[in-house]
Amino acid sequence: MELYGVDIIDISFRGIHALMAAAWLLFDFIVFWLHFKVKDANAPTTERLERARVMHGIDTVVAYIFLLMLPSGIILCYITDTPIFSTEWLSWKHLLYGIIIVDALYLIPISGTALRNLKAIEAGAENVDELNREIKSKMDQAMPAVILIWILVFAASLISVLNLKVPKGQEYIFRKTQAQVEIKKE
Amino acid sequence: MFIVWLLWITVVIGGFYMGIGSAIGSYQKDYDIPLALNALIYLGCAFYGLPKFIKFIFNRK
Repeated sequence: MELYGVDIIDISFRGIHALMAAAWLLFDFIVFWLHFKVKDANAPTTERLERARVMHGIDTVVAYIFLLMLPSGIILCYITDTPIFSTEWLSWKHLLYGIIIVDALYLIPISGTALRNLKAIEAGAENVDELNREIKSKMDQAMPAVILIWILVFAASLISVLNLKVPKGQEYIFRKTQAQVEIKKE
Repeated sequence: MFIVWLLWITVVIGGFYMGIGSAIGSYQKDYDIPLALNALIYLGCAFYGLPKFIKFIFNRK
């Protein structure tokens, strides 16, 4: 399906895949920025709880992006005729994604601690200090894994960008020239 | 709840798909290192997630 020399399906999936990576990094950074106030025991509980709710919501979006990245990548391989298991640069990219999955499995038990504990504090729990300590320690524990994910997503994006090719006989990366479209029609 | 399904489907089914594919690919390319590492990581995730996935399916209320 082409329009003005642009393969709509190909470009759409490439675009979605790239945008997902960009959104992943952006949303993860917003969560990172929000976490400082959430773990600050001196900040008002209402404000911390509000931020924790927003953090949790954004984190859910990040989780969807992370989980849908693999199927979208596999579909993209089929659309662009890229062999999944015999393309060397793709193997390295898959390896980075595999490490991200391991990282995510480590982070899953940690996620949600802040929201749960802050809800307990708001409801009048007696062990406030203990709950606050747990929030801080869990968030600090998660931090190296989060930074590793950023590095891996950035590295995977870089591998993709460095391996972008102009299709054979094509002048522009994303579209065919009028002459190429006419040749194809003949 | 959908996200939990998606998580275990990705980890287990995606893990087996990628792991087995990488293992076969590695074998066909004279034990190619990146593919062998992929097989190790993805199959590891799949085997780690499999009991949890089965438990999740059968313990639903």
